[in-house]
Formats: sequence, structure tokens, C-alpha cells
Amino acid sequence: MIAWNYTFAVPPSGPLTRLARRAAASAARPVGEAMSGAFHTSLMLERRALGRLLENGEMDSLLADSLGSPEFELALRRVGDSPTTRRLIKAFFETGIFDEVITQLLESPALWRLVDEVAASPAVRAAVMHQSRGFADLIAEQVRSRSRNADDRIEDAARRLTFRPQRVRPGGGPVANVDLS
Amino acid sequence: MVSQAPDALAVPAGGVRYVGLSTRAIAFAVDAALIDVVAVIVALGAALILSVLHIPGGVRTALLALGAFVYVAWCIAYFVGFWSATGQTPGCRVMQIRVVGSTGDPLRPPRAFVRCIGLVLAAIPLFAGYLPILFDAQRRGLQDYLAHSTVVEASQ
Repeated sequence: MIAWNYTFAVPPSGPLTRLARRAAASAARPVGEAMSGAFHTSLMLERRALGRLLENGEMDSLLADSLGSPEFELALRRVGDSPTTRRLIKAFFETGIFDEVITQLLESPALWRLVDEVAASPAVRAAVMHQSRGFADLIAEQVRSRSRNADDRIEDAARRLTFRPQRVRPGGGPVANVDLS
Repeated sequence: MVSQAPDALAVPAGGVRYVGLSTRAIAFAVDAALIDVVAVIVALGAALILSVLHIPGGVRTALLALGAFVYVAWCIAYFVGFWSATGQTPGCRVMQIRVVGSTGDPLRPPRAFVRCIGLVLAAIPLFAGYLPILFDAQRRGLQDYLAHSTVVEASQ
């Protein structure tokens, strides 16, 4: 059992005490320097090891292995499926930070510059044109199909009006659709 | 060229079918729209130019007559040009049909011109000239009889 002497709370200031302090400081200095040197050395070694790891590409392969592993995928899926994650996401949206980010983004001229750049890009224009052409082709195909049917129907009606027999058409009934292939 | 049975729709060589009245009417409407759009743009340009010039009444009448002549010439050139070049006007291309002669080739310019005149003649008696399309085995109208042409399907 240690018996603490609370009288040291107010340090005595005799010549003996001063001498003791000086001796303690002299003894502690080399210890401090040694510790500082050790710290610097360890830091240098750590940096050198890290540099070697990055140069060898071991870190890349380590990262690739870790990210591509089924365990990582499973862990990621678990995190995504956990109620805590969902609660956090819900809380994030409820704070209004997301709305604020979107508002700031929409007010940013840089965003609209980006949108203009994307819209003016040849790839996007080609895609839009291709889609428009596809839509026009689809409509034209519909019109053609219906007009072919209408041809047959009008003809049948005219023949009925003039008491002529219905026309026999190759490839189907009186109003058979036309195969354009 | 034609295989024909009594009261049956004839089939040209190649298995494609002759085209009926409504498909041809739609193709013609597309062509008419194109012709008129070009004519209106040209007429507007001419009218704008003439509006800043002081032109006597007689000259104005002559210019109107010239404009009408140019319009008719443009219409004839449009049809004759396309029918004799590929057999397809833009309207025919949209509807995937083609005007061909008895041999299956595009019409020669004189016959294309005759067919163009036939189009007008067929419309004069209340469009009665187009009625044979409904009854003819090759779906020919008056213009087709005159130019010895038929209108067939043409896949692009």
C-alpha cells in the first residue's frame, strides 16, 4: 500500500530540492532525445516501407484483391441491407442537406456550362438524332401498315357497292396485311 | 411481269404487291406538301423583293403569270424528275412504293411527263380518273393507263 504524502502539493524550495530537480532534468534529457530519435527513425522506416509497397504495385494488387473478394462484396451487401444504414440515409435526407446541395447545384453556372457541353457533344447529338429517326420510322411503318389495310378495305367496299365479287388476294384474306420484307 | 387469275389481284414479278388508292393518296399528299412548302418559300422571297420595288400594274400581272408558269413547271419537274430517276418521289419513299413501267424499270422522261398530265386529267372529272385503281387487277388509274405504268411496293 502506498501512502501518498500530500505535503508535496506545495513543493519545498530548499537548496537540496533545487539540486535534485537539476539532477532529474539532466538525467531526463538523454532519455527524451533517445525517444525523439526513435520516433523519427520509426517514422522514416514507415515511410520507406510504404513507398516500397506502392512502388512494387503490391498495394494495388492488395486493394484489387480486397475489393474483388466475395467477402468484401458480402460485407458491402450486409451494410447496404442493414436497418442502420437505411436509417442513416433517411436521416440524411430529412436533414435537408441534400435539398440544399441540389439547390446550390442548380444555382451554379458551372452545372449549366456542363449541361451545355454535354448537350452539344457529337455523341449526344447523334444519339438524339438516332432516336428521333427511329421514332419517325416507327410512325411511318404504322402509317404504311394501316394504309395497306385501308387499300384493301376501300377496294372491298367499292366492289360491294358495284355488286362485284370480292377480290381474291394472294397471301391471305381480303384485308390481309402486307409483308414488307 | 404479271400472273393473273379471274377477279384476283395480280402479283408482279418478285412477289411485291400493287399499291392501292389510300397509300398512293398519302404519298401524293406528302409530295404536295413538299412542293407547296418550297413554292411558298420562293413566293415569299419574290414578294418581299417586289414589295420594295415600284412596279407598274401591267408588269405585276406579267410577273404573276410568270410565277404561275414557274409553279406549274416546278410541279412537273418534281414528278417527272423523281419518277424517271428512281421511280420514287419523297412521298413514295415514305410510303415505300415505286412507279415502274411495264418492264419494272423507272419510267423514261416522256412517259413520266405523260403520267403527270394523266394525274391532272384524272382529277378533272371529280377524280373519277382514279376510280379504276379500285377495280383494276393491277390497281391502275387513268394516268397509269396513259403512261403504261404501275405502282408497286418497294422495300427500302
